[in-house]
Amino acid sequence: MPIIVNLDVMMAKRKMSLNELSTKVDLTLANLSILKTGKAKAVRFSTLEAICKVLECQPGDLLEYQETKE
Amino acid sequence: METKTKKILKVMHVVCWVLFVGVCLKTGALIFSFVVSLTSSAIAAHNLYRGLDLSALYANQLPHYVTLVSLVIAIWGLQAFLVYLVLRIFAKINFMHPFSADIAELVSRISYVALIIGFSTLMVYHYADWINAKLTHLPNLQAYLTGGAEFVLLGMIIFVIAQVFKRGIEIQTENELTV
Repeated sequence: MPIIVNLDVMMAKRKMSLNELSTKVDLTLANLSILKTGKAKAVRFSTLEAICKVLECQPGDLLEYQETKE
Repeated sequence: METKTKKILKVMHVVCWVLFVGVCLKTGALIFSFVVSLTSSAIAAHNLYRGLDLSALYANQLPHYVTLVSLVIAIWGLQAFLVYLVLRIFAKINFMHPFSADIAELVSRISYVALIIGFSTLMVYHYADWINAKLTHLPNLQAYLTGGAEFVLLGMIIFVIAQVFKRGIEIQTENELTV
């Protein structure tokens, strides 16, 4: 997948654990884990909004495009 | 799920088991009499399975006899395999979460097997026809080689259903992986 999720980087910058983030954004640990490991197929705007609000960042800080050779 | 549907599925499960045992017995009986006809007694070719008399072919064209009976055995064996795949669906299906990759794989395998059975039956039917016309008169073989076109139609319908099922699973997976 050429879209990289940098959730772990942002969490490390804000010194926030997955458990804490899960409680603050009201998402299950399983769903956050899917997002963090890059297994997610899609992200809802509402989820992105909640994460950005809690981590005080922009969507661009969380998502990155990397070209991959087919 | 409704109780009525559950009951129907239970009955279908039992019917499938009966069908599976029946087709296995039919194939086993044909294999047994075929082997007997080749190894110990040619009389077995007079009644290979419930009146299937290929003694004339056995006496005049042994290679064609072996080929023809082997093909019929293969088709009946595939029919047993088809019913076995249906039984596996019954064993694996979970009606709380019916759309799984295993079930999709089984459904598409059923379609392939049904198509193979259909085309093989049609092919063997024409082969028997050719033997009938050119070599030896086979009085009652055609009756044992019916249903080829029906199997092809069944295979095509199940193939389409299998593709829809696969797409459904893809959509489900995508939905599950939407955060």
